[in-house]
Amino acid sequence: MLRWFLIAILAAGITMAIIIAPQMLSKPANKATDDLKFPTKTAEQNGPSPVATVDHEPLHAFEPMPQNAEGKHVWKISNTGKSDMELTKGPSTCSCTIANFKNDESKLVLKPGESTEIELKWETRQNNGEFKKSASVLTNDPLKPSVEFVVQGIVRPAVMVQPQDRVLNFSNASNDKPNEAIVAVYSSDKADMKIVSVTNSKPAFIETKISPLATPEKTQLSQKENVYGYKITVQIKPGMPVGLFSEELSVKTDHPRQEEIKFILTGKMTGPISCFPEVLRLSQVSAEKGGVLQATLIVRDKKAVKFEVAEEPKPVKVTIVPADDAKGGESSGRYRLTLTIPPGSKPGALEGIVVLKTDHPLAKEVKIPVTAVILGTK
Amino acid sequence: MPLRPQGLPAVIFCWVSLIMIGCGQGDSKKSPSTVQPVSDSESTAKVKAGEPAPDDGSSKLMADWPTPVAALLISGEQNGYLEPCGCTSGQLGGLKRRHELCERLKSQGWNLVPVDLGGLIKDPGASLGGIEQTKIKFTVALRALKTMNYQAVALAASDLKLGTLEVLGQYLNLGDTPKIVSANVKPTAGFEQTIVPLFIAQAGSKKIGITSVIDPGSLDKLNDPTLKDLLTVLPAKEALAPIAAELEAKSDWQVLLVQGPAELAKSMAAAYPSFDVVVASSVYEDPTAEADKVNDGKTLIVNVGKKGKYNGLIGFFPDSDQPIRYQRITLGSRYDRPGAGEPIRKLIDEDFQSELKAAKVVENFPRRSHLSATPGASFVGAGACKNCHPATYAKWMTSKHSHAYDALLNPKRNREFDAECISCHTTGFEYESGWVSAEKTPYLKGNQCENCHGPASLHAGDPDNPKFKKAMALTSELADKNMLCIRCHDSDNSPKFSFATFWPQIMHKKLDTYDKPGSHKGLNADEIARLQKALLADQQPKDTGLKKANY
Repeated sequence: MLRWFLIAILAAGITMAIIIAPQMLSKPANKATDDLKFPTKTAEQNGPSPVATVDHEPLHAFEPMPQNAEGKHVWKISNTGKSDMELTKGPSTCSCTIANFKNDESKLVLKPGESTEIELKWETRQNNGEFKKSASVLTNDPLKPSVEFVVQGIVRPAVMVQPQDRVLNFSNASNDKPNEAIVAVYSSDKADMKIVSVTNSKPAFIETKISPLATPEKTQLSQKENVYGYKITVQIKPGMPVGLFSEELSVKTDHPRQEEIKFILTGKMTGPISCFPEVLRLSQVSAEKGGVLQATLIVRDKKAVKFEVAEEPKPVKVTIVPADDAKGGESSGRYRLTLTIPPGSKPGALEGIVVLKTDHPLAKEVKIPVTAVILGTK
Repeated sequence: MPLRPQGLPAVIFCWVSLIMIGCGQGDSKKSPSTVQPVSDSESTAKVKAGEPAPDDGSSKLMADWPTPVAALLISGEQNGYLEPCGCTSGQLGGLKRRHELCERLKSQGWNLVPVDLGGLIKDPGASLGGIEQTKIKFTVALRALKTMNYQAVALAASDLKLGTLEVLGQYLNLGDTPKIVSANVKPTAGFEQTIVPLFIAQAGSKKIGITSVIDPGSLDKLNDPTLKDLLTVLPAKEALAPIAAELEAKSDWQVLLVQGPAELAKSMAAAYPSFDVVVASSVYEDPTAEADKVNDGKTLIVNVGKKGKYNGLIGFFPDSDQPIRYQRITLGSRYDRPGAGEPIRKLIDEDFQSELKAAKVVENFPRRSHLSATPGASFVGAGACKNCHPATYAKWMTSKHSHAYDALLNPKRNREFDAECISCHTTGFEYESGWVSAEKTPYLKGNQCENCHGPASLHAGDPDNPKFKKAMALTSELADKNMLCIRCHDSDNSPKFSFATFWPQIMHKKLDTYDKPGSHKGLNADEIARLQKALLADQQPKDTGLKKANY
């Protein structure tokens, strides 16, 4: 009986040692990093090894592709070594298929001399511009544990535009003078493309002017191929109402593959006095310690203005002083607003408006929203 | 623990040998208790290729590295993606996962210095959430970086699209860290603390010096008249010279963040070889796995892609053979253990959403007139369409479009005040008379007929008027050609979308016959109001089954 007991302990010990030792000796694989790697050459792999050989460069550059198209490229990977080669899919940023793989989770074993195909597919869909996608294949070739296959190129819509994101951002535009921006609408496959119409959602304040692209402009848009098209000058006329705006510009063309392109015109029309940030927003202010937030008041044309705090939501305290960049008594048109929530304020949500009175002839009153969350002690 | 294949024959051999010894002359009929091997394929069956399985947070990260003396976590060009990009599953990225990564590395005893290349937000004009939401998002993104103990962030032109004053106004309130660094942009007097030329971060007993440069051309392109008043922009190369020297004198390793074309990063790395790490802007969304080495291997040029899907991790080691190592980190489901990134979850799911609600971002969204509609037409809701198009309405009611709004009402992750979500889950948002709120425009919940066909009030009131009919007409060919669906079914939110396969699911051509009495009689305001209420009742019972949007 004692003999069986000792043998059982010995057997269990040997079993554990055999299971654990290789894992301790080799570098951890899947949990080592995010990007999975097979262990590099280990003690037990000293002998005949698989050798991963790829038939050509693992980077393939596509010709310019249209939208809604599919491109693919195939490589052949062979085992030119003397023992079995295991292939596994590694990190990928594209649709990647490996011939003979039954599903994404399996491994493929190539005997010495065998090969398989690696195919990378790229669907352009509605993408626009340059792309680069890759997929890694992990191998147990000790000298090439990972092979990264890459496809890259550029997607060209039928009608191309600048700016590419189709947004004209006017940021903080003064509403007492005109503001302009330019868009380009062009094609590389239709030399006689025409603009059929240009309309916008606020014709009373937005005007457009179409003119053909000049040669230097064409060159600037594309140095690799000839392009044909127009530039549209968009002007926001003075008097556009103060505040945020988001308008639309529709350009219709006679291109058979893309008849309409829409642009967004967005931004903020500012008046004579603006506050930045526009909303005085404090979150997670400790009721015990209070909180402070600073903002800047900007007066157009750097005029000197007297401010008086007419209203402040309780328990907020507001002070305004000229920004410390005034030179030799000259006004910089900038004022520092400091909003304080005093220590010991009552916890809760605060929503209100700070009202300032001014001596500016066109802005007698300035209203600034305030939001705050005052947290009590737990 | 799975048994490694190479160990199995040895185990069996030992067991058999021992049993033979143990049995001696004993009972050979007794069978041993055997170990059941688990095949390698079984052991990995639940792990999708290329994507490590979610773990419980206890496994060691970067286990094949020794613990570095100091480490740099690099992020950048988040482009407004606070959460994994898109509203479909299986996407990469998100600040919650990044927080989990930082916490786990710190718990392993790493001296981690997180830095960001800037580009926290998307162009406010291009963002579906609009300018006001982007401002709040920018604040939240900065707060998230502070929560993750970020030390430095580069000044980026894409962030300044929010307006130089707005951005400086937010930087004013950042506190000690993160510092906004730029070697070649100097703020005007009174704003000095908003942008500093360099910052030296403490990493254990070592120091990492950080600065950035920005391509002056990228600032010239901004349509912001206040920029020139507030910021002085210098040529990058000249401005960097004294900063690089100061960093070299005062820190153990130097990091340069470059906001500009890849060529600028390369030229800066060549001109100032003292930098150990140069972080470059990305041309492509997905970065390469390896960093480029220049200056005879001394300097690493790193890019981390766009949309916050990847981070770069750099370890510094007291090892003359390999003093610096780089690893691209994929922010996938591995970092999704329950409870991971809780401070960030709270920031995004609770604080951010509360601030959007308080600021009434959706209600106050700037609205415009509908360009393709007949002047004077307004949104009336699908209820009004049902009167003459009952079969089309019935088909729509079976689609996810009809219940799109309900997908926003998850109690743990409510998004009904988030303009980015509202823009695709309601009808007529952005347009005059379109979606305002659940209280004011409940009849416009979900993605309804008028999102594609335009506002229908005039057609509903005078259905046979050819001018009004023409304004509503839309063929599938035109919808496809003009990419009407792509506004919502974009590559982030609907990566599998293809018009050819999705259109048949909602195809509704000639389903109605218009031969019933009343089909050609126009609706008055009272009748439209009654039909709008009926629509709400129709939407009600089917709320539960269609909540999960996953295209």
